[in-house]
This record gives sequence, structure tokens and C-alpha cells, in this order.
Amino acid sequence: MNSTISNIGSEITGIITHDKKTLQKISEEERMNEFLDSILLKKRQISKQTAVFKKLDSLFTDLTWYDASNEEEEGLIKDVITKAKKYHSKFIRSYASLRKELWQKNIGREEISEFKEALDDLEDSIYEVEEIFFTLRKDDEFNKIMNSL
Amino acid sequence: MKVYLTDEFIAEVKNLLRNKAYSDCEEAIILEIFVKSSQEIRVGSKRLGGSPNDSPFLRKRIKPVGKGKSSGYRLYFWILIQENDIYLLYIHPKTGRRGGGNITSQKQRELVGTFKEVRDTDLCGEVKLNETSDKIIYLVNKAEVFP
Repeated sequence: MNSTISNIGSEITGIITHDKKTLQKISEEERMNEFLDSILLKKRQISKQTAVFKKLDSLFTDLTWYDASNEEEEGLIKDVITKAKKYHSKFIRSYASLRKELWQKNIGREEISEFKEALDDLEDSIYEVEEIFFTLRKDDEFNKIMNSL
Repeated sequence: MKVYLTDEFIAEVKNLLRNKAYSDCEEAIILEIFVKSSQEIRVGSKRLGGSPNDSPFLRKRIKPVGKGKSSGYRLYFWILIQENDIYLLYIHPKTGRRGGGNITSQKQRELVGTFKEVRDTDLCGEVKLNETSDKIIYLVNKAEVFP
């Protein structure tokens, strides 16, 4: 009887112990998986946002292939530039938080670098477009030389 | 496509190549200009002025191999679409000791003036790519432009 109780007790203890270990292991695995999933998700979100910056950059480049033929079109370009500057400022703040939350933990560095690079390029484009439409093409001397060609 | 370099462009690239940080400059130019069609070159270029369909004056970000565009160069050039000619007028790096923001309107005016002058006087040297050595060479005597 004692032996049986002892055996059963050992078996129960074994199961509980084993089960506990198994549960802990699964739980840790799950936690780890959730953690890894969240990193992957975050990386995907960053890359998706980077693609949006690149698309915007390309659209700003496309704008320069047109001439603003009237005040309405100039107004539209000014409006787009103003909105894009605000958009850029907003994502510079996002970048600062990505640096703080992920970069310093060595997470998603490649994606964050690409994010920043695309954001810098977009900023470049916004200011370039502003300069092209409202400084360069309004410059009498520039236009005079252009017309002489 | 015929490629022409102004004296100013050649001098600027030579200056850059003296600095180790910009030793990839010629390679970046080759990749962007010499192995692409006129149509491909126009993609991603911003038009500063000129006729979009005939002779656009352009600025483009070009990148050295393995680096992002932000750390690359800004190339100023003119394409004569009908003639299939391209004139490289100026280049500057975005970052580093010789780097900086985009050039001033005054400088851009000067570049247009330079283009007009070289086009009118036919003073611009035509170059091509030596595919064996991956170097830009003068068409007339096959000498390397950036030895």
C-alpha cells in the first residue's frame, strides 16, 4: 500500500512537475512567439511606411515634369508642400520614437535605417519642389537664359 | 546615346576622386548614365527647367554602390531627347567634407549658361564607357577621363 501510495505520489508529482515544466515551456515559447510576431509585425509596418515615403517621393519628382500654368495650380502645389512638410514632421517624431523603442534594443535596425533614408529623401524632394516652382522657375534671369537656348 | 562632359564637371569629379570618401564617384556616374537608356535616366530625375519632351534640364540623386541615396551625389545634367545627347554639367556629394545641400539658384543659372556656351561652341568632349576597364574614356583618343 505504502509502496503504491509512494508510487502513485511519485507519479502524480512527476506528472505535475513535468506538466508544470511543459506548461512553463509552452508558455515561454508562446510568449517568445508573440514577442517575435510583434517584432515582425512592427518591422513590416515600418517597411510599409517606408514604401509610402518612396511613393510620395516619386510623386513629388513627377510634379516637376509639369509647369504650373496658373495661380490655381500654384496654389495646389503650395498646399501639397505645406501638407507634406507637416507629414514629414510627424514622421520625424515617429522616427525618434523608433530609435528610442527599437533601435536601442537592436531591433529592426535595417528597417529603421531605410525608413529614415526614405524620410530624408522625401524631405529633400519637398524642398526641391518648392525651390523649383517658387524660386528657380520664377527667377527672371534663369528664365531669360532658358529662353535664349 | 552620346555623353558629353563639361570642363567644370570633369574638374569637380577629379576633385572628389582625390578624397577617399568619394572614390566611388566615377562608378556611381557609370551606373547611372552609361548603362542606362535616356528614358531610364529620366526616371527619378527632377526637372529644373527646359522642355519636358525635348530638352529637360535635370537634377538626380545618384547613389554609390551599397549605400543609400541620401549619402550619394546630386547630378545636374541636360538631355537633348531628339539628338539622344546628354550633357553632364555638375555633381556634388550630399554628405561629407565636400557635401552639402543643393546648389543655389545662382549656380543653377550658371550651369544653364555653361550648357548654352558648350552647345553653341561645340567645346564639350564626348566620352564613352570602356567596358573592359569600367572607366570613362574620351572618344577622340581613348584616354581615361579620370585616370
